Amino acid sequence: MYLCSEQGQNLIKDDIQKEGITRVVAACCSPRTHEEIFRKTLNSTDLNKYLYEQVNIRDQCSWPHIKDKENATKKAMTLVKSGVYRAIELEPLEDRKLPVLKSTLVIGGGISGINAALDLARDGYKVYLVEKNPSIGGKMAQLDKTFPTNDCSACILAPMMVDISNNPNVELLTYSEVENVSGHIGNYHIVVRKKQTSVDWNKCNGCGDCSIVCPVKVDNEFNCNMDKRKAIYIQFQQAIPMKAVIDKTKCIKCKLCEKRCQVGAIDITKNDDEYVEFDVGSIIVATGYDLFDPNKKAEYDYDHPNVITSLELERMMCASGPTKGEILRPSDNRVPHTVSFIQCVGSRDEKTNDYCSRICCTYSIKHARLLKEKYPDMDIYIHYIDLRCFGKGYEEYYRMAREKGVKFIRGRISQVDSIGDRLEVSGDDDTLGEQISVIADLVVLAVAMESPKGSKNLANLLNISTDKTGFFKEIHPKLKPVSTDSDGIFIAGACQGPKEIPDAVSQGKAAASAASSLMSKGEIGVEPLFAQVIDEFCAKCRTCESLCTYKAIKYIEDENKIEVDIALCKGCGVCSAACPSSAIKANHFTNSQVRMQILALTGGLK
Amino acid sequence: MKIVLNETNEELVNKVIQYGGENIYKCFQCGMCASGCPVAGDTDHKIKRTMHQVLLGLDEQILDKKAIWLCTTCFMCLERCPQNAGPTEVIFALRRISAEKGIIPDAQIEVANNIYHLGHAVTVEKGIKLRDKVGAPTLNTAGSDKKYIDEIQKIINTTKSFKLLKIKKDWKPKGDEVIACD
Repeated sequence: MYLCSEQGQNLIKDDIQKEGITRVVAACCSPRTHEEIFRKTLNSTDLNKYLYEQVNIRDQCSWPHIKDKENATKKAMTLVKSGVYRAIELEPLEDRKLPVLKSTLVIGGGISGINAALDLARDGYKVYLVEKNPSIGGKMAQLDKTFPTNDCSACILAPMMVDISNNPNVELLTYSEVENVSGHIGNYHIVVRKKQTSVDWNKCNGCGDCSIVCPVKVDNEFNCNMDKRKAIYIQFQQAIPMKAVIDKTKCIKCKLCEKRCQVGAIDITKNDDEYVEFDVGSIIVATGYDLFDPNKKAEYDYDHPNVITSLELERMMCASGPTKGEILRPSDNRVPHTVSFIQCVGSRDEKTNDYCSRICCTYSIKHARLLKEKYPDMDIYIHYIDLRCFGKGYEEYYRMAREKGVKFIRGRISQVDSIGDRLEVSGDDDTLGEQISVIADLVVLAVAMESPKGSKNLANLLNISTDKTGFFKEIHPKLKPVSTDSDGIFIAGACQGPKEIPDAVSQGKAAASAASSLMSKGEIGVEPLFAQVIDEFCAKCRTCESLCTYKAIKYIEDENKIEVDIALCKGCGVCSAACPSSAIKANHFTNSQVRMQILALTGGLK
Repeated sequence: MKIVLNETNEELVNKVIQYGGENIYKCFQCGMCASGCPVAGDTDHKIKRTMHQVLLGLDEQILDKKAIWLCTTCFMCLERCPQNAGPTEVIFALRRISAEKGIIPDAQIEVANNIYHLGHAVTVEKGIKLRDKVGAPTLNTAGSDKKYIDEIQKIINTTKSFKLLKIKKDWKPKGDEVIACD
């Protein structure tokens, strides 16, 4: 019989009720997964749930000592003994209730953030959607078609963007960045910096006249710098909001736009950023990804005009892109005859990123298929290590590319050299067992997805972790994929790790659901495992304040007092251990409880 | 030796499709065909590689060599191919293309001439003599009567195969030393 089964729990319940048990110690597995079950059983009797102690003889005993049964058993007995002695000193505690505001901050207006914001807004929660660019839409807005169905990206994204702008529960804060976050689960105070646009968006009607008269041409980031935009510009044709922005770093202050604007929306003398402040109950981070800089792989000669990234090809394919949908070799604007795709540029490579970016195989197949549809005689090679087309419908998608005559060659490409007006792509063909070189007109680099610049700062601001690749870290990769180690802050989409649109959407919706279930009742129960300062012992040395990772301890100058914010405190006990005058009591881990445990473990008790 | 892929020769793959290997594009190089091939272990016949070579248009690498003629046509690869790419069909198509170009190994010409003149792929003289010696009844085979051989020759004469298989009127069979492949 399993003690955690219903039968096992009933056994404990019976003993408490019939035998007058006052403390319960279970020697079993990890409290991380099972403590809650036992506590609930105690709660269903008259016994306080904090009078329960769980001794983990699995993860910390039987598993690590699997080859030494005899000594493992001895150790288990000692561990149980320490648990029993700690239990003697346990004190009954009561959960605290915290109010939760019914509003959410969503950081990032890509497909994941849009989905999270829409779901919450439809459920009636107030949503603040912050986006650093002038328009929402994210990377998906730059795509032409999306795999595996080849739907037009803008056609499926634009209606959602419009939905967002029409939803009264959503406050759109584009061209803005989160400047500061304070507070705790249920009640965060947010400061957002709205970058100065020098255009009054209440007046601007998005006519675009200002861009036409502007004499300053600069690289257009939206089209991967393949064409020019003006210093005053609307980010792209389906932009939401459809408002103009002045690029302050490029504007020459000629005021032509100001004179042209018929609604008088432009005032180029405006320079200062604005700050907006508000409070929310939860936060969803959906900041997406950046692309790997191919210049870091000098062997692929990205400097050459005919070596481009996959996103550049994507923009070329788009009817509203720099070449109006024609695929043209940048060096001479001619349609290329041979195109080589190089996979895993910056992925699965210990020198750059050791992880797989997950989407590049399928998007290169998409590109190859779309090229073959438009130019059936085009010679197309895909140089891959492994083809990872794992999603629903992707295998068929891959097969159709082969049937169209796309040539797949297994083996990494060593280098790209120019020969005449063409490119020599040198590598290995695993099947032939020979070196090969493809003489190509256009080389497309399938560049890796990376954690966006500024992730580290945001992680520090929100007190959430990143993994070694820089992506935000979830608490549990399987069971808590959108939760972070800060309660009330959730992550969604590619900021958690490389993923395609369907997964980014799923996570956006999952994060919205997690935020919603946190906020729906308007309050949450918090474990009373926090630190308490005993003021008469406290010397106000503030050692604890500097050590607290969660910024939960503060010195209140006016009252000359150290105060613990119980919503922020995780009960880790660092302050209690460090306090030179033992003035901090860590609930549920009191000095007497820990002392008893140590005595039992070291044989000090008979 | 380094292989340079410049302007892929699509002619080969198109011809393979025309001559019966119409599913070759489905191949994704898993190696199932080669892994169960009964001749791959001892010969240069590597069917997975051949499929890839066709797709890359490397005709001289396939047609100038004898590997495709070593296939026993046991159909194991065709049965097991998870993509139904039909490797055996591709081999047949390649042999047809090769024959058209006049590239046929001597052993295959030997066999064709044997059939034309004797009615059998390999000579059975030794066997017939042995049967006589032990008093076994005479076999009624394709080569046992001149009229059967006339019929065979009529078929070969009226099709392209007479020219393709380099049939010689003054053929001298090599006798029982003949083996199917050299």
